[in-house]
Amino acid sequence: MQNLIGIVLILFLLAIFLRIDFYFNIVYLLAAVYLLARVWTHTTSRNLTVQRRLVNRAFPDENIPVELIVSNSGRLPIPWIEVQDSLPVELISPPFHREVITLGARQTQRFNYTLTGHRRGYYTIGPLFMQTGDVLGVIPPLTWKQKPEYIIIYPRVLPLEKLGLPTHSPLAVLPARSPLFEDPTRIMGVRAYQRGDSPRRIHWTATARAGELLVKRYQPAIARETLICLDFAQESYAGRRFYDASELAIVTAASLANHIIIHERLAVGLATQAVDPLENDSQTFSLPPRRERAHLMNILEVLARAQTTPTPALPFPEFLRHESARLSWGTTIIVISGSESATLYETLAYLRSAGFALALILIMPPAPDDHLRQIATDKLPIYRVWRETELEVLL
Amino acid sequence: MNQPVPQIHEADAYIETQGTAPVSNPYRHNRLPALIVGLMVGCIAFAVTELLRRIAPTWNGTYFLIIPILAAFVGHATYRITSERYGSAADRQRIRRLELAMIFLLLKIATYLDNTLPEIWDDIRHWPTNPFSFFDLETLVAFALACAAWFSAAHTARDLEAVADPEIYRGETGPMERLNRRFLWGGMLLLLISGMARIEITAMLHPDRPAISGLALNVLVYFILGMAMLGQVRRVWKSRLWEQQHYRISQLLQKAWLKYCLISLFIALLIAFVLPNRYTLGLFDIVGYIVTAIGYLAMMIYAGVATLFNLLMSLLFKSDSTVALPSLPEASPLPPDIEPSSRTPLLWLPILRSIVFWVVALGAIGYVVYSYFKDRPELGHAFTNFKIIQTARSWWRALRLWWRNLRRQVRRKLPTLALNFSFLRRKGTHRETVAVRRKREALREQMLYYYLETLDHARAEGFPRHDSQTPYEYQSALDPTLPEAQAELSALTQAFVEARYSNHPITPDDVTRQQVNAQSVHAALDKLHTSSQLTND
Repeated sequence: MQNLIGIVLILFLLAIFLRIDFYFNIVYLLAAVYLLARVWTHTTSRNLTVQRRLVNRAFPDENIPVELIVSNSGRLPIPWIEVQDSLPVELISPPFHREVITLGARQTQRFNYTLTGHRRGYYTIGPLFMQTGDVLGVIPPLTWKQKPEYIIIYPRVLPLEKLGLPTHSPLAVLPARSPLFEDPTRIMGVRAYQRGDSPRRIHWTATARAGELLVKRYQPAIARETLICLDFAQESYAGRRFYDASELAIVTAASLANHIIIHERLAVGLATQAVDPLENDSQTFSLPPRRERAHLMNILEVLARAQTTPTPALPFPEFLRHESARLSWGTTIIVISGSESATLYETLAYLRSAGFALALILIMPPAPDDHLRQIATDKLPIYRVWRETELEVLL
Repeated sequence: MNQPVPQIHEADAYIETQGTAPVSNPYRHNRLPALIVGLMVGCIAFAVTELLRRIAPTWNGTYFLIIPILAAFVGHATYRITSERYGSAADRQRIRRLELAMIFLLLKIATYLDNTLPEIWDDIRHWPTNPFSFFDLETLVAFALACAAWFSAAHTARDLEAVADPEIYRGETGPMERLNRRFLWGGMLLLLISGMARIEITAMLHPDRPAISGLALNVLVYFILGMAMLGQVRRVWKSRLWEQQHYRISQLLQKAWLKYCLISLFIALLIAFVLPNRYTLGLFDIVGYIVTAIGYLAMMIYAGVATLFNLLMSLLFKSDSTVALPSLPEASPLPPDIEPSSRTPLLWLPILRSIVFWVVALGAIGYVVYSYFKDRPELGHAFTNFKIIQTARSWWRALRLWWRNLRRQVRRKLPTLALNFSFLRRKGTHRETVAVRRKREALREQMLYYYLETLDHARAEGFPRHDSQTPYEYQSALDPTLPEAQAELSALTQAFVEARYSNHPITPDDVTRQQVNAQSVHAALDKLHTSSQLTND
């Protein structure tokens, strides 16, 4: 009844002209219907609140329960509310969550549904659209949307064996030939106390057990830090298996980071150039090496969000040089890339000569001449991750 | 296998369902809509009967009332039955023609209800010689009315079916809109006929004729029934659309909808009867009285002031000399007694009642129109694009500016006077009204806007503010990049923080300053952009 106003105006003029009393009653009736509908709808819409409760971080295949709470805090009931939540198809299969409800005065309704993240990513939950209106349809329905929320599905983390990578050095830490530095977190054993030993080195429990002063012996190390450099340029993963290879690179990076922090208890960082859905643009992510679990979650978050970039700010070899400038001498750099090139090997050789420990992980099928490459690059450890059967299991 | 192509009526774009309408259609086996449509048609028929009785007071037009109701009911039912049982359109047309013929015969029989048997027989004997005696005017008028009722009921039935099953309609005007339009135009027709039944055509143009009182119950019933039915039809329509989009519909919705629909109508009805619907004086008379009263008051004030002034003058310039007054000519004899006016003296109560009436009526209408335009801003914009409206607005702005300047000048020149007269005082001394508060809030919004706009600009230039950064942290991060606009950036940030996190009043000057600072920062960012481009080149 959108043209009700026209009728009311015509009728009002007619009523004035003809001076018939009941015409005014009808004018009042129609005007009252219109105003009631408007006041009712606008008042109730101000008292309508929607809240979405969910845990916005999850691992793949984990169920994420979502609770939608629609409340009417006012004294007027709401005849109808259309609630439509926009959800990504990666998390829930259609039909999506759509409800039409009625809410009494000061009433609340809760709806529950479950999302399941099968693939890593940064997903937008919402916006939630709501529409309400009057029962007679005299005013246009009011539509508004609630701000979207975001959910991060972390990349899959696998044991390194599954990826075909060694679980220990040289990826994580390189013991030094000369004991320039000692790592107090890596105790090799104990020895008898000698004059001059720092009291902080005394192993009190062992001393108590042995009945003589014993001090801790630490493993000598030149670096306790590792930086994972991920090449995430689109051109590096070109080919038929672009999607699988790029995802495998992410899984590899995440698994390595997890292994180093959780199992090795060492610091790890991440450097990559990728498209960030938050900024919708190519970004440089540079997380310096740290060993806390919270830092691992930061790394996983970045890896969850990262998308291959068509236009990296720097070519990958140049990016490696750029990032290495911030690292301390002896840091292990693990390079993950989907392609190899002469420039890359030159850069790796340069980094090696600059005092960094290096490992190259190629997301490529195994090649028989890897040992030749290793010889050519002064025994640079090269690993390849490319197992068809594993890919299917992993992704 | 070829799918049967649905036939579409060119006129109204309905697909012939050929008996395949869904079973879930709530109007298919429901007699209530037919009954309501019949009653609504009855309301119109009642008004027509009233009008005809006014022309021919001795005429017994009871059947005039009953037949259209029956025709409407039958039209509704026939549509339902024919669409269910008859697949071919030709069969349906044949049935409908037969039905209309039956209605005509029924009407012809009804016209003889007041006649005796010899009179009827005498009339029948004339049929072969004079066919026009069979198709007399009374029967034809009644048949036209019955046909209108029959067709409108059949169309309503079809629209109701299309509401419940949107798949069968492919036209531009949706079934809901058709139903609404039919209801409103029917209502207008009913009002016109009811009005004409109560008013003399000759008296219509007479401005001083008394108002016509009395309630037209049939009109009221028509509108209440119509709106209640349309409310329910709307629910069915929306439910079907929701079902199509896979919405889960609450079980309580149906009852709640009906309840709130009836409550709304009841309240509206109550309001319609509580508000005044009578007035003694027309709008222009009321305006005239108010203007006269104001003029009279002004004259009284002027007379009082003049008397006081004269008194003072006479005291100041007292003169002993007596002035010889010129001799006045002899007065003419008084005219004969004027007859007292036939018009009754105006009482205050009718005036007050009329004022209340006009205030209420114009207030309600004004608010409805205001709300209508507010809900549809595009109409408001279109309206303001008219040349005449733009001219009026510019005049209004000029008038306001003139008034503001005048007040400022008076305040400056006569500060004592300004203190005594409230309309000359500064706005700051007023108690804060809602309008003032809104204006103040709007200024605050503008302060925030300029800062946020600058953030957007900076982000576009590659300097995004991270979520973890406070405005001051962001400022210190941006400062080295924009050495030329450091002061402006600092002022911009400071003003933003103050506007955002304090209740300090914001003045238009603050907003202007904020805008200027934002522009300076934008210019610095643009310059940076240009220089970086040049470097790249």
